[in-house]
Amino acid sequence: MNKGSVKMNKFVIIIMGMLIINLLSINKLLAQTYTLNTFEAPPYVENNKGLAIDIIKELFKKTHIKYQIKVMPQKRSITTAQKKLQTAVFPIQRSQEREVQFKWVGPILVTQTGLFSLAEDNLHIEVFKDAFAYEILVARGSAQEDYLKGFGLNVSTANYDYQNIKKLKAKRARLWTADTIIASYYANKTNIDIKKHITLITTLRALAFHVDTPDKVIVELNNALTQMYKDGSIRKILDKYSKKFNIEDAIKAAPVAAAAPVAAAAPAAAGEGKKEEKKDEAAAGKSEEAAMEGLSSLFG
Amino acid sequence: MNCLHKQSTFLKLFILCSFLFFTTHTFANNTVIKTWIDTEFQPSTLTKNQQLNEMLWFKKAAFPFIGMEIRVVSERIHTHWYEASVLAKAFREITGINIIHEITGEDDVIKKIDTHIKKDINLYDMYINDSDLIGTHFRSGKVVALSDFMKGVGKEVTLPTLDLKDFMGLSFGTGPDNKLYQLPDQQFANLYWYRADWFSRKDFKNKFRKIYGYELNVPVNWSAYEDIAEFFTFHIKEIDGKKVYGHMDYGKKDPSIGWRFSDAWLSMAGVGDMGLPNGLPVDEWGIRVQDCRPVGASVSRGGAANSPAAVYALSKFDKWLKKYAPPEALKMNFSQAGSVAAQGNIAQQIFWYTAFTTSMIQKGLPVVNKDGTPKWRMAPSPHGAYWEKGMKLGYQDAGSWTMLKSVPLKRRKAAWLYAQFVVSKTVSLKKTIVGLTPIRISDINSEDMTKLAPKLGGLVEFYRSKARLLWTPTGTNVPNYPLLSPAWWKTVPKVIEEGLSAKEAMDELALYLDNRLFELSKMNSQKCAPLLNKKRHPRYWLQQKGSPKPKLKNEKPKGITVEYKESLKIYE
Repeated sequence: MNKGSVKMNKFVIIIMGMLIINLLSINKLLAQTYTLNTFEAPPYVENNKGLAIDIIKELFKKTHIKYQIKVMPQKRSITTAQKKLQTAVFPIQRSQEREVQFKWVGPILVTQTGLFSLAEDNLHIEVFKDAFAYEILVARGSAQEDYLKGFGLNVSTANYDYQNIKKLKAKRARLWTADTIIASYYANKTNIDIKKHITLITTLRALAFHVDTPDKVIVELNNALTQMYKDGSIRKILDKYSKKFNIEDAIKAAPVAAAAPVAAAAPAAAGEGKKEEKKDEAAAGKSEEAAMEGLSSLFG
Repeated sequence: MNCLHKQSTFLKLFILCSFLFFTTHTFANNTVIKTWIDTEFQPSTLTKNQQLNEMLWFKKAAFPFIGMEIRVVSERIHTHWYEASVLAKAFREITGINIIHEITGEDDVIKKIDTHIKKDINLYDMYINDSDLIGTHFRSGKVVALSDFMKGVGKEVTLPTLDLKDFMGLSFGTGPDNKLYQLPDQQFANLYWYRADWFSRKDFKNKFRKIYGYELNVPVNWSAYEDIAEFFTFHIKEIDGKKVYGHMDYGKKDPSIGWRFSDAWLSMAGVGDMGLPNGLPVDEWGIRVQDCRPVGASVSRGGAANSPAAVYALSKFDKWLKKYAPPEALKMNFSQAGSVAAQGNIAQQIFWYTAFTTSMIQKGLPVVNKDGTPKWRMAPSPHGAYWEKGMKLGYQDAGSWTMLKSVPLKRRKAAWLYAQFVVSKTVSLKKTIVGLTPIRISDINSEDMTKLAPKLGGLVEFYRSKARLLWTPTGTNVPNYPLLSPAWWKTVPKVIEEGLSAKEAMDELALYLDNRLFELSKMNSQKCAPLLNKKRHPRYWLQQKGSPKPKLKNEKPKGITVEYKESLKIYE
């Protein structure tokens, strides 16, 4: 055996050793069980079922990371995930204020906040500024409450949106701001006819992990989530719920499988634009992009 | 025959109805346009007739898109609030295209455009996104080159009177390939802010001269800034029975502490190389490029993110925050700190965004005189010990219209019409007066802005001077802004909160940047992808000409101050 082949053998052994250590550490991470806190937010989460839960289950199925879901009040579900290792919370709205408090996997849902009144009300709201003269109902502790207060608006809070729609019906205020899908759900449930005037803001709802969660877990989950968007899995889950609830706003944003773009009327799936500039899009590096995706959401 | 007669009558009736509909509609629509011109779009650099013609062009070009609902998003500043509340409404009435213009935090805008690109989720039809991302956009292959769009598929929806040469910040949105990727919608700089009334008090001037040996005036270098900070915090202490401070800043761990650094703090210290807009080959983030490829941020790879100048920049930030600012500033973020100077107990602020001008000139504020003129002024920022003439001196950015390829063409065209509408000459001067974030040379040089200048604390003077050319956004050395920018907020607070030394923090930052550049280097297919230099002993790079620069023997030279008027001229 010459010196060259001895060196080569040593090199191979070192590389193999590193690979094994790496695999072991990944396996160790994957073997841990993560507690995923959630809270009642129908139709996203309702009696331990719902749209968000289905997305989370599919996501973890793809990654083989062990998990358990726990339902608790919203505030506790968030604070526990901030304090306790191997814990996460979903589906919370990602915001600048929360950014440094978690490591993020998302968006698991793209949702919108709308401004509603009773359908019978002849209120005329064209732009957000038109609403400034009115008191606005909003759920306490929600991202919407922060948003409205940030503009110095006069808000009236209730613990749940279910109470807000009742207050709207009782004409205790003329406007209510809520997630458009949740609003639609409660309108159906309470049989109250409401009207959406404007969309205020689009929000990215995410799965937020304790800040000391290993980066590999976050990267793995984000890569799997990206794949779910691109292969149409997310859209499929949304479609399933669209038969039961008015979730058009969430569906608009979620693409069907990238290979079969839809021509949407709203800023929906990749369509015309994709076709037009497909030469640019076709540039190599898709798989590299996928690898980067996890990193980007981890560090970004 | 009878049937034919009936058909002919029907046809005539149809033509008549159509004629009546279109003339009535046109008349009504022209009345709407004239009403907007008369009641809202004044003043303008255009005559009313020119405004009418421009608006009629929009009306005609928008015809195929009538009834569409277009969604755009921008950060939350006065200018965008005006667009979302007033201009979006006007656009709908004039064109029939409904606009949802969402307002949110800048960090959220970046998250959304990043999500849109990475996950192919079409969240918006266009974004008003900081031109800080130009390095990301021109490399990504996902962003439409507007210069191509305007000549190609978007030609028929491109405003003939757009007048690109009139935009001050057009270079900010232009890639190294000379293509325009981002069209400025608003722009603001980060300048030095000070209480001109206090600085002109004879008793203060005499006292300052006695202690420091030179005049209390606009500081040209950081030494003078530091002296003035100490002077007000420790020597003046109180004015009219109220505690005053010689410095204001913020230190809370939050994405906004990152902007405090990535918005060119290191350029002010003198970290980068000579040359505009960002310094070549090393920019103000401390990233070195070879041709257009980033090769490293750490000194050992030829970068300057942990160079002596960078450590000096962080040390000064930390020292001034803890020693001269109000104690509560340590726990504040960007938004919380933004309103403090307006409360009247801050003498100067080295890092102040001109986007806050509107909120600083409101009548009744302690920093505004009874006649509506401000007690304060803005001036060019002082520079650090490592800065040399010919280098970038501060941050200026343009929130710019950005179009993604994945959005369907019809929607892109409709959104492009709105984008051009809110920067058109018909509305831009009025928008400038409302939001004070000028984008057009014609607006800033207008008679109306001359009249307004005394109430704006030096904004007009700065934008009319050549000094503004030294204030630029993040440049193209930064290949992926969303990926790299968290480096700042993840490391800087460790100095403030965890007692890490400035050197340790900048070493960590440089390593973070190098690691991310290494990951990006795997994307060889991307144009101008990073390719890291091999590590060398830092001494090698510190001995080369330019950045990274070796440690200065004296990082606090004598303080230099100048009269306000001189402060603008010295950079010409």
